Amino acid sequence: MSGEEEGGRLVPFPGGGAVEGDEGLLPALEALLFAAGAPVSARVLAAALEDVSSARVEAALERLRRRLTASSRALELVRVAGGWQLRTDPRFADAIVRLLGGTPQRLSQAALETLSVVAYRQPVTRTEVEALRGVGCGPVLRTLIDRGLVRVAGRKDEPGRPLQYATTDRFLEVFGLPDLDGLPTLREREEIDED
Amino acid sequence: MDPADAEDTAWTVHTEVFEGPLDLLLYLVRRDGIDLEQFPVSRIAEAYLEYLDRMRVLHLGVAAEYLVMAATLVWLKSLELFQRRPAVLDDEEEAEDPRRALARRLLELQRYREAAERLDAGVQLGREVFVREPGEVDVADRPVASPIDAFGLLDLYYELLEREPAADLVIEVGRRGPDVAGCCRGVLQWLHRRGGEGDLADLLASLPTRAQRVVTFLAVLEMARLQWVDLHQEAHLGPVGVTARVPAWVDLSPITGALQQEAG
Repeated sequence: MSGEEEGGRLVPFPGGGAVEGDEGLLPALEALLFAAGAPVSARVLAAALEDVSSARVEAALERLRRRLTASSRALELVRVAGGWQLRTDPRFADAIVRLLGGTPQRLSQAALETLSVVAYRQPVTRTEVEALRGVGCGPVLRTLIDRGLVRVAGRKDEPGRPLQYATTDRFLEVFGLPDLDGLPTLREREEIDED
Repeated sequence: MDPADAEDTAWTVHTEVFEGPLDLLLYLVRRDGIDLEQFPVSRIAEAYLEYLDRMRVLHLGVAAEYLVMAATLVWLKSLELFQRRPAVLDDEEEAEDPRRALARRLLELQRYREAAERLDAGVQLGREVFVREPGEVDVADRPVASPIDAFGLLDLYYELLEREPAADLVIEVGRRGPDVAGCCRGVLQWLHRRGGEGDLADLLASLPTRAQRVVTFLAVLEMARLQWVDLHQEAHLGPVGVTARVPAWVDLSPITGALQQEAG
């Protein structure tokens, strides 16, 4: 087994001969991410590899991401829901859908709208969502919860202690967002808020 | 479709389905190219009332909230006709003009609608991109011989209520019963005194009152849901073990936040 020197310690890493860039880490990380399926944080990946710092893993992931993009591979490495995830390139979407059979389930206009209110206003009560949309939202919220996109985040400290809703990590994963700050900013917010 | 065609034929199929009065208003605003910043109340009110008429002609049920909005619009229109500030504004300088308030609601909804469109336009998991199902390892060092079944839990629960008649037959008026959060703390402390794991039946049997057992049972389920404890069962209908996965001093706010109301 070849190793690499780091801080006077031998790091056992197959193929990790070149210190700069941690070349040996890349296939290891690719294997871990393939096996995991779900988004995994650099910290968790580092813990699985043992004796590798999160910072090194983070740098290697970024390198792997660029490499996958540059070499036009089947998979993309994406920062999503607080972690990293291997995903198929969107250009294969049609073929994959045909392969797996069936049409992807689309969210209705009402569901998408309710979801974006919850995403931008969380934690938010049902009454607050309904005031915004001007229509009852109970069944739509139920659907979003069933699909794992929205969760109950607690109760609001006001009379009746109504339930509050928030988005889930699954929401970030489905819409490919690294975190909630990754949501596109709402247009004209300042314009409406100023008066 | 143009709703004006509707009166002419009995066969017109009306396909616009509105999600409440705000949705209908937004539709009309867009259809007629109305500037929301200007908010010409009478024009909007007319378009809205005309649309409700069409819906009535078509024998579409008009829900109450549409009528409430119609009343509001007529009121706003009357204010404008009399060139008056609404009386509510005279009382309180701070209050917002109701016309402005309605325009604001529409703009606000419009913003979320656009956000929803942007969200939908992006790449979506299961639609444009695909991932592997998470891999699993056959874990040997965790005592999960068979996943615990709900009936096993239920049996255990009834058995406990049966086996040891509850001692608290005295009715205590005004006494608060055990709460889930308190029981969670109790369970975690009990587990950690035993090196982190114990038998669910022993745990419940150690409690003096039926109320405490019931709430503690719920506390265990709630903690299992939060993955604060693992439930495991070696054999079908065998004893159910509980293993703590968080320290005894864990912050209980996820439980107090969501559950204290029911338990209290």
